Amino acid sequence: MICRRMMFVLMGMVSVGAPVSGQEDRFRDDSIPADAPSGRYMPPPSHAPGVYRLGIQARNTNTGVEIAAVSPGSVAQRSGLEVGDTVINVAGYQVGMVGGRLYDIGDELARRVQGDGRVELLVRNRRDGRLVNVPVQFLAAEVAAISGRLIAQGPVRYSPSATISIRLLDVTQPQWQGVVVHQMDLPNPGQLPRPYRLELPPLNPNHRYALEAYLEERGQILLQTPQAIPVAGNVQNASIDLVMTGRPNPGPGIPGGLQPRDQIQQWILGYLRRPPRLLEVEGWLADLQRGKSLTSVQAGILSSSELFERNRRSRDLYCADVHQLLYGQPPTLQQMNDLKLRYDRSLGVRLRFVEDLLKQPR
Amino acid sequence: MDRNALARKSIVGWLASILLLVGLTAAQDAPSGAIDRTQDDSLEQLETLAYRPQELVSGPLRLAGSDTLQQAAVQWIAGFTAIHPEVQAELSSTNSEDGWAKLQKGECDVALMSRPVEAAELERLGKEGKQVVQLTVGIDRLVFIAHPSNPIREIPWNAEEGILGSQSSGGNWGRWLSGQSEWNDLPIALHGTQLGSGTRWHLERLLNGPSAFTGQIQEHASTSEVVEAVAGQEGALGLVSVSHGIGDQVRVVPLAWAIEQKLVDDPIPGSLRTPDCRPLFAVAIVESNDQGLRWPPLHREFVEYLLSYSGQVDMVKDGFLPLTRGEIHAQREMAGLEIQR
Repeated sequence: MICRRMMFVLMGMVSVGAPVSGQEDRFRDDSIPADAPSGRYMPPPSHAPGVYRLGIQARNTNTGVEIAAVSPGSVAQRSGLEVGDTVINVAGYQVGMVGGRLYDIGDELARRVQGDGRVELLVRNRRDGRLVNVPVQFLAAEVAAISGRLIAQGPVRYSPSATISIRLLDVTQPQWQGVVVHQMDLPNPGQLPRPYRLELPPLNPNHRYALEAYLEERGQILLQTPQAIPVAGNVQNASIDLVMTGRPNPGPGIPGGLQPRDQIQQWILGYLRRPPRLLEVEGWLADLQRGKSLTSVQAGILSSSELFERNRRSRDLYCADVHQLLYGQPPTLQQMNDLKLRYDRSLGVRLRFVEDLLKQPR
Repeated sequence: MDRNALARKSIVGWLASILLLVGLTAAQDAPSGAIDRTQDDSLEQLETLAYRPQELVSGPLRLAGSDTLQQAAVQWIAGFTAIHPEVQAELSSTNSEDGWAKLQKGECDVALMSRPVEAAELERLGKEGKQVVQLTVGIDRLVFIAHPSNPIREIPWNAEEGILGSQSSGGNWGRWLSGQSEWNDLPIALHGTQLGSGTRWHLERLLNGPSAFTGQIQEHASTSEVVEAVAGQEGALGLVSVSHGIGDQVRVVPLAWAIEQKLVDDPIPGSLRTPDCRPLFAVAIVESNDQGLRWPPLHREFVEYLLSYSGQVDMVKDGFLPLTRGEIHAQREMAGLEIQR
């Protein structure tokens, strides 16, 4: 590999070092002085984390990210990085353990790579211990992505609060239903059709993948691809148009016509007797996105540790409370015996117990 | 330039502004005034860490340990076996001590623990040639609680001496409420969960630091019983997890600590978690050689699941805080799992 010039940075001082025989030709191109910023501005990533991949395996240390392996043909190899080198910073921002906190190099690349795919790394050369600025150029073709158009079939009304989600599923095994390996959300999708570009994380070349999309507003799916579309051939450069159609039966049978988010909040308020927290609502909504039913969310809330703890971890108190919450009245003696029997049959797994209860007609 | 000092200053400034901004939210969100706001606890930051199964696995998977983690484990099993239906999962929930004992005897594959494995235990097993892998899988929050009439606003804590300064009894409330005559001579009655539980382990160390408190603690079978006991006794002080709710019959007393103080036990690499946050662990004994850890495929897939978006969603659903991306990467490194960068 040809090196035109190297710039060494040592102990905060910048000097132009003469190439050292046998060591200098690993790094190519001109270097830019590393003006490490004094503060730690953390902008949101410009790209999905993992999209810009150096092609290294690495360990985080207090002095940076030590390279443990370099993939053949990778950006890292092309830039001259070797096993044992340590990346100190990305565009001046330290990576690895800093002040006891971990700054992940993948996250920093997602934040700092410029629009033209260029970024500078400050690297400690394992051969001589010196610091060197290494310009790295990601090429457009190296950013794995699937692109195409999002199309709505038939009329549908949605507001700016709607979101389109595009999901890449691993469908290698017939049992793997809804194994989402990557997802991109497009808030306020505007008018359809519109183009999309899904930047991909590392994928297993021996696995099979499929793509699906849906438009959601307040937790309710208004449009979706009727089925996942297999991604044939080279996943990383595929072009796929995603045609979404309206759902014939948009509501999954929610009582009172509530939207899923509102229903979940109402269950938390009613069952746990406290206001819902944003994080837990996010968690339950994530379950719905992964294909679980609202009934399974209801069972999850009713079987939570919080409700069990409120009943002093007593089987009998818990069973009676669940009955009261579901049917609005305390169980009769016969009902109580039945509840205890069901609970014991579920071996104390409350989720199973409640799911079983919810299956029976009220 | 001392980057660590810079980082600390920046964190102090950031923390101060965050506390100002979210003070009201924090007060409403949870009873503890000491919840760590320096971490990004959203699930959104984890969305790119989806569980990516490498292969379809099958066989028995035995989990045992802390009942704090029981419901999260039930959710893990439901999610994991939906993808790997030929896995027969068993769960035995008692306490951390029991899970750890079963793991050492080979009676379970993964121990679920709400306290860390102690250095002496690790050393002993290391001498026997066993590699213990202790992975943080989520964050619980502990708070001290007192009688509602207690005027105390906060309790000073430091890592070396805990809150009692290495004393073997609680002493009187006068140690913290010295100007208030009716509290001066009132003994501090300590309440906690039973021996063997992770919460009890933490209580002993928060009281006395690493030397662990050996004095008298009134034992209770559950968080709700600790809460009831503290609510019913004027001089009571207890420690409970707030992740599963504690109601409003007791007063939550935040710990006061210096900003650079971190977790009371093993810090999570790369974390700024504070003393009232406790990591929750999945612990396994794994064979290793020159190439690193040699996970059985089933166990490796399960650990991958725990350290994924899905595994973290399951933690959140039962009231715990998720790990951050950085923390997950640190755990993956520890487990010898691939992180491509």
